Amino acid sequence: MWRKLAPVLLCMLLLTGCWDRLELNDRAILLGTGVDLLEDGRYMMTANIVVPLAAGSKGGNGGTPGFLTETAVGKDLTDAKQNMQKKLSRVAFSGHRRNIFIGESLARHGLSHLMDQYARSPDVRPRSNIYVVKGGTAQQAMSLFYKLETNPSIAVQKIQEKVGAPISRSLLDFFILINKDNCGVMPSLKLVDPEVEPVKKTDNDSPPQPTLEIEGIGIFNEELKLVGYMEMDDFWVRLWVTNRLKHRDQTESIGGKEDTVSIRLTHLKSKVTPEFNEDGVSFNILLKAKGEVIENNTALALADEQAVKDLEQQFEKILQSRAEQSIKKIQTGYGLDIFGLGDSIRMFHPYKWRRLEPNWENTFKKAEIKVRVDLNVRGTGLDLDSLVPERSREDSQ
Amino acid sequence: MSWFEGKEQAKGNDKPKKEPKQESKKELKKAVEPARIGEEQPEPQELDRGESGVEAGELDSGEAEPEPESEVPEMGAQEAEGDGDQGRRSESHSAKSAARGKQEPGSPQLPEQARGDAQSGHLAGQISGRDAGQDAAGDAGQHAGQDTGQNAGAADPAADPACDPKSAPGGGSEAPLQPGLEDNLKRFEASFAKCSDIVFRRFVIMPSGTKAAAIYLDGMCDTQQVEEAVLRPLMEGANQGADRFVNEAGNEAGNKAAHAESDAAQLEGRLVSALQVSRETQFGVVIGQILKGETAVLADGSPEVLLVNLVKMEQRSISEPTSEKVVRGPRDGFTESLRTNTSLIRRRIVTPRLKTEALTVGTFTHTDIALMYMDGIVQESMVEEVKGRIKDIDVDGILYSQNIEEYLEDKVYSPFPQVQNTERPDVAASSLLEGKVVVVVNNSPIVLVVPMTYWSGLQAADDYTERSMYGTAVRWVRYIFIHISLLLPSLYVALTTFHPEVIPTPLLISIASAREGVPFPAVIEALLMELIFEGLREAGIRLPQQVGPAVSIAGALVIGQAVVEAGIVSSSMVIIVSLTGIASFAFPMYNMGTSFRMLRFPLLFISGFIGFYGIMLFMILLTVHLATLKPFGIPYLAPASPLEASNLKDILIRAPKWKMNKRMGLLSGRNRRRSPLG
Repeated sequence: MWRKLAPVLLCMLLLTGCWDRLELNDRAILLGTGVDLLEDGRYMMTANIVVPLAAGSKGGNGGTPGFLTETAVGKDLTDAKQNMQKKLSRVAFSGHRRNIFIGESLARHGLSHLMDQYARSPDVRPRSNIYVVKGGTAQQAMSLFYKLETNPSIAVQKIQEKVGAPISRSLLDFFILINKDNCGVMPSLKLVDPEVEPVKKTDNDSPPQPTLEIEGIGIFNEELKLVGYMEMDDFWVRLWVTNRLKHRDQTESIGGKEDTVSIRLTHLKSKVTPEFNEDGVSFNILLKAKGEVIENNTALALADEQAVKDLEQQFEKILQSRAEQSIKKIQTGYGLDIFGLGDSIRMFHPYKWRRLEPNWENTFKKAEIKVRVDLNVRGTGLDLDSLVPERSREDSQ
Repeated sequence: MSWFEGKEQAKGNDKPKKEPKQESKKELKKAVEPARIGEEQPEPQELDRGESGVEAGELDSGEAEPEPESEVPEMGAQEAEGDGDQGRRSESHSAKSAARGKQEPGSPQLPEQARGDAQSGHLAGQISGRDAGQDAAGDAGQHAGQDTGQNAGAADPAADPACDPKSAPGGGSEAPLQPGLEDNLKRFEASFAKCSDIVFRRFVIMPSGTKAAAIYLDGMCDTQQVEEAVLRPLMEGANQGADRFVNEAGNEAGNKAAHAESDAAQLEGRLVSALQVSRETQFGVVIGQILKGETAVLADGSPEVLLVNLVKMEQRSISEPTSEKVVRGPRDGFTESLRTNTSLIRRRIVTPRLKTEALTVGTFTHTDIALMYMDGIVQESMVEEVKGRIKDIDVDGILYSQNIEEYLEDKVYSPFPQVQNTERPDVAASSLLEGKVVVVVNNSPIVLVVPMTYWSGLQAADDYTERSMYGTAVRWVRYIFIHISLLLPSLYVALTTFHPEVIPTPLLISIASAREGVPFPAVIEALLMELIFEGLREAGIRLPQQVGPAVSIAGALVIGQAVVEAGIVSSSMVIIVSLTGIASFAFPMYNMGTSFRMLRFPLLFISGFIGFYGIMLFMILLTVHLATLKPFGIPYLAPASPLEASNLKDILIRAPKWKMNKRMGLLSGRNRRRSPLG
């Protein structure tokens, strides 16, 4: 049998079209791409490409960036990519692209004629991140030399993970949200200059440079157009309500302005309960968290259990008002259900949802939303009473 | 009909004799039935003891009518040569066709019966036989039986050449010895012509003055002992018995034939003070025993030869096995001596149930083989199968036990070993207790264990000397490394050239930067490096000790450093290849390791062509192949497939000894219990 089968197998091996072997050093590994809208309506694609020689662990040649930035213009993404290939000696390979940047002008123009490729191409990771660059272009964000990482694209992704946001898959989340709730969010980046203009006296000084920061989220309407931003102070509320927030250090002033207490919130959970009445729908949102006091600049003596209880209650109130404010802002400002409140109806009252869905935007705008925070402070760090003498604080007040 | 006439007839029949032989090829199947009939017929007793049926006939006539003695040596020798060749040729044909018939699944009865024949012949041989040499005679008896059967029981003494090549080392010397010393010596001298290491020592038995001679193979017998135990008592005549022997021999010269036996008995019983002594009248047998190192003592007037076993060969002492090392196990390993090896096993299993059957293989080498098994544990059919396969071997020489292995294997063209090799008596003993058959081959320190299973190739003796938890952990490390040794280079090639999206980004970037400037595609690079590694390994084995360090330094420097620095090979590839190299030596069984090492190359090639898809295909085919292997009827993957759940305790984990209380049913049949359940 084998004698007959062997030539057939050999032919299959050599003659079939299954020959997509491509050596690693024939690939240009894209770590991030960005898209901007040109004035003539065409798209400009920017790509961050790894330069393997510089990225190598050989060290010593510090200073040379481990990436190069290349741009190309096209009618759509594929066209732009093809145009870019004209400038690249290696095949552009986006299987490792984790970050996609969208310039603000493009975001405001709308992404509906752009996003299809991100879902269709087998090269695109569903677990990619997509960012909108607030007040700038993608190209600006991508050509920045970020010193900690070899590549600015990797940097923003890591930053996003470190600030307590969910693991990086905002592209997938965007698609889910836009199909489900008729609105979308994507993290927004901002190019920031150092707060104080740095003075570089010698070549070896390393003053703060302009850099990227995660600023919050950009909010997209159902036409995939950017309608506004939500800053970090509001953004975390959304994450908490949608059960995505991992941790958050919340600092609030208690009493005087300088009397701040910082509590690290962990184990953040939320529960949304819809209630139906004649007018429409109202929601009860229960936000739960465990906390640990990590900074106490007040005269509160935390060795006293009652004091901790009081602090807990005060914090609950503050957090509640902040959450309600943030939600209200979105509810009235944009009328977009980015908190996924409609989900709670769809999940537990599917028939009612079917009735509500067509007019959900208006219903949501009118809905009454009550927030209750349940905070459980479980620790006060290394100290009970502060080592800073109570006297000194009283004096300063 | 005198035996001389018989010879004449044999000569005259030289050409027509081929006919029945050719028939035997064609009508082998038919022959089986008559062979059985022939077997049932009461055959002359000599057939059992003798080397062939024909010889038996001759023996008959020879005893009845003594021939002129002068004719004996020349004629016998000539006949021996002429017939011997032909007989060997046709014999090997028929044996081969028989062997082929055995492997045909369509005709299962044939080997059964042939083996039955062999068995009866063998048993008969053992009845009269004295040791291994006689087993071959039994084997010859089988052939004779077939031959007679083929001729419908017609005992044609000339039909089969007397000199069955398998009969004895001195093949072609069928006639019994005569009482005259000089005649006998002439025959021996003719046989041993130009054998400078055969020593003929003539002496006179005192005080009777009978002429006698001792023949021995220099270098294989203990010369000092020969002097002390044979020559001195005879020559000094210190023993009273000597007188009697000589007197008897002298006085009753006319009645020698009748008393010869008792004469030799006298020698054996009173004169020669050696432990192992036997008497023999067959020329061929005597020659065979001399060649195996025994000392033959011939006395004038007696047709019997006294064979004194004072064999002393130079041999290596027991030392630690080199290819199967253990940390805490026993340190003794098999040597080249068959007896030492069997005794090493016997030392571990002290019961008469441990059987050691003797076989001889090889027309010229007459290699002794010991077949060991545990009676009551092993399945009878298994023993018969192994014995049958060994007996079917027809070849001029067996020099290594691996030669036997190749005859025993079911599928020669499988990359996997189907016969377990071991240098360790403890491994052999534990296999015996599992119900396997152990084949010890003389002059080979590698002992064969059949049937082998895949898992036994992955179990090390060390697993059982360590505590069971550690044994389990180490076993799993080994399993992982085994897969590394097979898969790692191919996975690397497939990942980097076909599926780079699977590699974590930072790793990809570092691999990419390492590969920068490397001139070859990853497949070629991997093949190159694997080839270099195999070359280094191979050279390392053959290296003369003095140049060893030089080559290893060159290897380490060239491969490890210079190649990478020159940018010819990427550093990641060096890591992969060296890891694979190390992993391929994690196999407890060397030949299992080699088969995996060999399979690495086609897999690498395929993965270079079609990536993961190819690896998957290859692995599927490999698994299918493993599952279809059935050495000696035992599935190769047993007990994992077919599943015997209770025996997985020795595969997935290494359970404590008392918990592995069942043998594998496939091997031991119903006798499965090793210790009380619980």
